[in-house]
Amino acid sequence: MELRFVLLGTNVVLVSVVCIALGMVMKSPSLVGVGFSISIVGGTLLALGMGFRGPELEFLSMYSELLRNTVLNVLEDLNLLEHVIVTVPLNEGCVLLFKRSPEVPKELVLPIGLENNEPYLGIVIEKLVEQSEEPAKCLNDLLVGRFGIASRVTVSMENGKVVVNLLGVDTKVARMQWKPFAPLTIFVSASLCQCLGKPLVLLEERIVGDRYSAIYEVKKR
Amino acid sequence: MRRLHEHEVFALMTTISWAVLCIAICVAGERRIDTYMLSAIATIFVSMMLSGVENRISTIVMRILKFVLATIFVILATLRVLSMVLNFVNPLDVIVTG
Repeated sequence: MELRFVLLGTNVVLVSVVCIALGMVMKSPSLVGVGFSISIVGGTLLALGMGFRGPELEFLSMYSELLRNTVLNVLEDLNLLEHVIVTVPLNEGCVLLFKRSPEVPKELVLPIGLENNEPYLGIVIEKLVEQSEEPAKCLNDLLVGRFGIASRVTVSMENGKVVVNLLGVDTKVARMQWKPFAPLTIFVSASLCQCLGKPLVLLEERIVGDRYSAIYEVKKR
Repeated sequence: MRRLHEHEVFALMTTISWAVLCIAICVAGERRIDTYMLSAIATIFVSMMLSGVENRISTIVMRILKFVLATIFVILATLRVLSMVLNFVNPLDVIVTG
């Protein structure tokens, strides 16, 4: 939100109300027309102020891109470019594991560990949500309410699989989804794992326009 | 002077072009309310496209804003065309004069 534009928009709308009232009293269609016209401009400035996103977001997005490239280099060195994402609860948060096989390791060594002579990369993610019986509410609170990156989240569970659908995904976030180690994948996986309190394996994910869907398999520890 | 951001360019472009257009329409003696409103909406859309303000507003707000403006535009334009074709009095024309 940009307070300057909100104040400007509010003032312009107030001026338009005065113009319309004055035009009605003076029976001047031109003044009423100008008043309505001002109200449209004022309303637009108000909306601009309310929905404003600062340029610092772009800076942070570039910063995250740099970090992502670093992680990708590590994955490349570990020969894990073709990986499976396994999310394991750890204390109050969780660990995101990039592995070749979808098994949950018995003992975690972070950030780089070995299991059956196969390396894995683990990234610890702090507590995002509370454990809950309602994963849909959990994800809606985080992704829609707190982060505002989607307009609705639905979660369905059947046969040990969890299907997550995000509707109205923000265009910028959707664009970042085309590369590996995408923010949406990480946040959805981590928050779902913390919410269910169980290890998850990401089986499939897809983004079409502003719709994102991911299928997870619930694992036993 | 620092470089202006997209939203500031948008506000500046909209205000200047809208003011020039409004004064011109007023001087021409236009009495139809919808002409003023339609010109304002058109100005806003053109400024939006030229300034790239979409990068600075959240997608949801931008969608709602565009939908509302486009709806008002379509309703006003339709009413004006229908009033000319079917020869009936546009409700907006009688708001002031009664």
